[in-house]
Amino acid sequence: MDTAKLLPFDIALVVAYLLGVTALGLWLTRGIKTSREYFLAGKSLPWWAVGMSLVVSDIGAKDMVGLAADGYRYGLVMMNFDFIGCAFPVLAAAFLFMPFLWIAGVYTVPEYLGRRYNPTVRTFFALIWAFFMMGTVGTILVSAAVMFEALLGWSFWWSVGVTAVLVGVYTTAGGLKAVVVTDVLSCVVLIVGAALICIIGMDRVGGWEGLQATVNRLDWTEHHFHLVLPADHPAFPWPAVLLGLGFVLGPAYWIGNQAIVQRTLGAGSQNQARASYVFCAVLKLVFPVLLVLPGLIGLAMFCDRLGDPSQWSEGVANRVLPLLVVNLLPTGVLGIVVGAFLAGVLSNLDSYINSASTLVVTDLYQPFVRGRTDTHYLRVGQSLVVVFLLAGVAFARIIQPVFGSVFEAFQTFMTFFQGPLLALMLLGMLTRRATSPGALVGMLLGVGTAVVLHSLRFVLGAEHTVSYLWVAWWSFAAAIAGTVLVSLFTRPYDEERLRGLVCWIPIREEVQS
Amino acid sequence: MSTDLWVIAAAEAARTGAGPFWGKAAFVGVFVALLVWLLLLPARLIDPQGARHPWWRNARFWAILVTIAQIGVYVVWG
Repeated sequence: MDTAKLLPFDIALVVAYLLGVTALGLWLTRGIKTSREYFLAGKSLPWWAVGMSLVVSDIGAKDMVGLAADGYRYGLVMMNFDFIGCAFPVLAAAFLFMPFLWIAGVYTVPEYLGRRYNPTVRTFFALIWAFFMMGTVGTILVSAAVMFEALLGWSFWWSVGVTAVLVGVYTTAGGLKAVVVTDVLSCVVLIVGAALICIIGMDRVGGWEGLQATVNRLDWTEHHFHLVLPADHPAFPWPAVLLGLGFVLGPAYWIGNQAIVQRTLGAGSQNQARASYVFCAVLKLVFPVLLVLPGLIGLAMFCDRLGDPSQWSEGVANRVLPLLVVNLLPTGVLGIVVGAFLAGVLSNLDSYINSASTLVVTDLYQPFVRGRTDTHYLRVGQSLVVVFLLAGVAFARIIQPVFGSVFEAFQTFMTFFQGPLLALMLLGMLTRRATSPGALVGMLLGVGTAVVLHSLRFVLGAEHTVSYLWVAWWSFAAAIAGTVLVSLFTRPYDEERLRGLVCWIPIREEVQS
Repeated sequence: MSTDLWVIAAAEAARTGAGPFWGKAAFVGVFVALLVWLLLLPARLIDPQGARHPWWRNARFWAILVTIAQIGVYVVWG
């Protein structure tokens, strides 16, 4: 297998980056005395830092290797995850939801749902997210190990050890502020590293015209330069991409994912929260190019070696990016790119660890263990970071042999809840009429619809498999219908009960000030 | 646009190798709707104090720019 050989100068660059991140993270641990400073950075984060942190929190090892492989397999259509699946919901959220959530003063998304509906909805979604985040930490560690093994030949335990120790050191002590500020450094390194692959790669394949000419010569790449694929495309039919990704999974991720929303809640003001999301959308114009283009370059350069992806055996997909890195990059540049991969892994992992700790303390610990000092909750949060990391390492070891199926199972599991979560958030924020019984019925109906649609392939056979994009859309539609119907037949809340929880009923000015 | 014009446009899109016409129109339509919403959004909803910012500090300006870029991306590569 091709693996990159790091020369002393490359190693020096990687070590400098790792030391820089750790030192910066540790430096930011000074002065953290309250749980608000730990979980929300004292609501003092600048918009540009939050915006950059949002972008890199979204990109993990799985994305970097996976998007290059999917770029090779499907082409430009993969950019939809950052265009219709990100720019659209992020801009809508920037002006409608984020400033509002910031003013509501909540720490977590389930906390908002609990205040808007009832504690049952809060606990339900908090448990789902806690479970998902624990699993995600494990999958991040395994996918990082897979990437570093393919790229550098590192062993599983060496990869897991390096990432877990580094993230643990600064995240445990520094909380959200350390996470966001180190993410800024990671974002810069990631952009530079990914841009170098694209620039050198495009030069090698003869620019855009050369890339198109080479790729179009193949007989299975007719859609590779289109963002919108036919409605009968087996993987990405445009109606499913638009409805499932653009209207459900994208908004659910950018409005309802605690790991994403939490850093915005730590912004210095309502305007900073809005600006951070707009800045994220600006950066997201560039990132899909940086992450998908290497796949097309790899296709142009190595289609003879890697062949048609429909014939790939397991593990071949992971070779697209390492092949590019090994064959393209000179000394020095290789060090920066490896630093970029590390940056992606660290920023992804620290975000989930920090958010999982915040969510468990706020939604699953504080409501049941009341009356303790703020320092107590701070210490519990810090301890939970260590617990989550250790649990993630143990889980990573368990799932490593069956990683592909476990990762898919986790993603599938989340599509059961993304649609209903978004439905409850949208109805809760935008309408006065949604009630707790409506939310409970809508939630059950949405999750039930997702389970039924997903189970069709087991009951009726593989030819009846429903795309996860359609599952997300129909579970969202069912949750909306259930919540609206039942809410109309139950007693509405009075305006004071909804103040600060519905967009159109703002908190009174004297309370805000 | 009449049905005939849609058919001609769809045929032209297919001939030039563009993606499915209705799909492209739908994606562009979403961003056009977002653009209209951003343009019509009342200023007091963005800043209750009514403060005016220079263009480079105006979140609405940057959001509109991103939306126009997205429309361009889907028109060209849709």
